Amino acid sequence: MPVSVYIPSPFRRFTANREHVSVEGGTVREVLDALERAYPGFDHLVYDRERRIPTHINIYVNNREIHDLAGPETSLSDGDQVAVIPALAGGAR
Amino acid sequence: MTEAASGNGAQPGGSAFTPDEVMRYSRHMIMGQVGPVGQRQLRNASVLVVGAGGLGSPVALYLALAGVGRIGLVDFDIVDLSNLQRQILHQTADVGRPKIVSAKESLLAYNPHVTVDTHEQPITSDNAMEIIAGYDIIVNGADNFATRYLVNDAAYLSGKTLVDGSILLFDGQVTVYKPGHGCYRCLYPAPPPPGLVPSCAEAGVLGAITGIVGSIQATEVFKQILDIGEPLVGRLLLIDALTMDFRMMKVRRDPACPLCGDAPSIHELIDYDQFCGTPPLIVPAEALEAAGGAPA
Repeated sequence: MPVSVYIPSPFRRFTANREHVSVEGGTVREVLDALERAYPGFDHLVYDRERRIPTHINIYVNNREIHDLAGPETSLSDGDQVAVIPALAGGAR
Repeated sequence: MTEAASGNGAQPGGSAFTPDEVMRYSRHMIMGQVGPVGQRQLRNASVLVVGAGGLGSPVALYLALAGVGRIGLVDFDIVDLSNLQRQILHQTADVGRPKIVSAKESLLAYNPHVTVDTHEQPITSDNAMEIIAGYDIIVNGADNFATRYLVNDAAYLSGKTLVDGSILLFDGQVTVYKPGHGCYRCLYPAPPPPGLVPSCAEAGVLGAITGIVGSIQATEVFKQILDIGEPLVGRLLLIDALTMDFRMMKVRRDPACPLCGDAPSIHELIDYDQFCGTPPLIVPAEALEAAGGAPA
């Protein structure tokens, strides 16, 4: 099932500057795995060394963070929107 | 005669507005959601802006223009030529001067009716609670994760509302943390490893995105002071200037949050450099000299 994933600008260097990418996956984890296959290096953005999603990365399905759902095993349906959002720190300098 | 009918706001809670002030604030005062009563609420309010740079500039500017009575600024940095692409409180002639000085001058030039209090020092675990205690609302325009967690924790422990904004490249994030409704740690429980998420100095930032995010932060401050509208509490606004998409994500209070959760373990400020794995801040020599030679 193709899923649309929103890529914020800090991560677009890994997706050839594409804001939205379409990958196959029935769960969030499958989508993340598909992103790595399509865009090698993406893993480093969304997984730590233990292959856990680090806490400065939030993944949203239809604007709800996956910890409010079923985490990486959250099932996806046709038309679901996934977004991978990092914490940003910029502001003053 | 009612205050609205009198038009000049002569009521308890402050002196009447001068004709100059009535004219200056007229576009706000004629709105039903503000009026003379709301304008007095703005005048009686105090707001602390952490950082007088990219975000702090537009936030503080709109607060001053609107007549927010007392604006606090915290910063210890020196104006650099590379700041002028986005930091609208500073001008070419200010390069080399403390940001806090040029920021105050700019704000008072725009509106001499407001008070600008300056805190020319890094905000740290040693002084944050004392600084924050003097203000009604806190605005975060910091540029590093350690300060973001520090300000979050200090605002929560002080029972203050925090209007948070951050930027990088073409993206911005804005939300409002009200005690009891989640905090920065609920959204991002721990910072990224040092170096993983670049800073604006490392990756760049669109100058105009600071105006978008800062203006939204200022708007949220006004809504808090005036108690109008739907605040960005429990919601994270994501702004993508390239697509010009605005996305609204849900933010929930995390019952397991070490600060505001059901069984909190953080009851006082901690060592945020250690928490974030970052080296301690180095205060520029010019700032130290301007502050009297002693680190705060």
